[in-house]
Amino acid sequence: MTDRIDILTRRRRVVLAIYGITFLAFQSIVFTSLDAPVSNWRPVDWAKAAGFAGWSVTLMWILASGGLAFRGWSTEVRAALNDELTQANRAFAYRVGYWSVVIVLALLFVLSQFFDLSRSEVLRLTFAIAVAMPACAFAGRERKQGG
Amino acid sequence: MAELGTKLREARTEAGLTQAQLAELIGVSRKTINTVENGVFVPSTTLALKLARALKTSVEELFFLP
Repeated sequence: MTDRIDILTRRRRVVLAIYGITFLAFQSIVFTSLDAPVSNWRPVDWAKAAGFAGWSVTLMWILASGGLAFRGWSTEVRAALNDELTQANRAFAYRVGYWSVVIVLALLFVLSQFFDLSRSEVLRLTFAIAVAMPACAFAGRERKQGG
Repeated sequence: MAELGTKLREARTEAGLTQAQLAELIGVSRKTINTVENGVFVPSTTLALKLARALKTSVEELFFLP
């Protein structure tokens, strides 16, 4: 059972790291066209927005519960995958997310004094940081602990 | 956070258990046992009591303030 838990823990860490980093990286590449008013959106823009929402929910879901990967395992395995070390790491990740958002908002406030930032850009960037940073922080913490 | 000394590794070895076996006994991951043994993670009272019970000792024997 312990080997299985180790494998699932590692899988969760890798998935969160990859999803989190690519989610952040894709913000500037894929979603720039969403700055246009909704009334001007083309079908491809709606698809991008749906992808953005789905990706965000998936990341938060995996961090909070492990996602689909942990479905179907016994109660003991799922309990061990959500033991108090995991809960402590998750709490740490959420703290990192909070401070990341505070820092990003402060930086955006300073930038807004010199550049014209759209409301959509600010909201999207802040939301992306709030979603991705906890995932990356959790993965980093688990890696550091040898998981 | 206050430092917490631990003799968990010694107690586990004396009991003839591996980290994986102890983890399975109390329903946590092997990594949790490893981080407690290395002083990286301070366990809750509940987990400390579970560890003590599994190793047939007391919490005071396992953990101490340096």
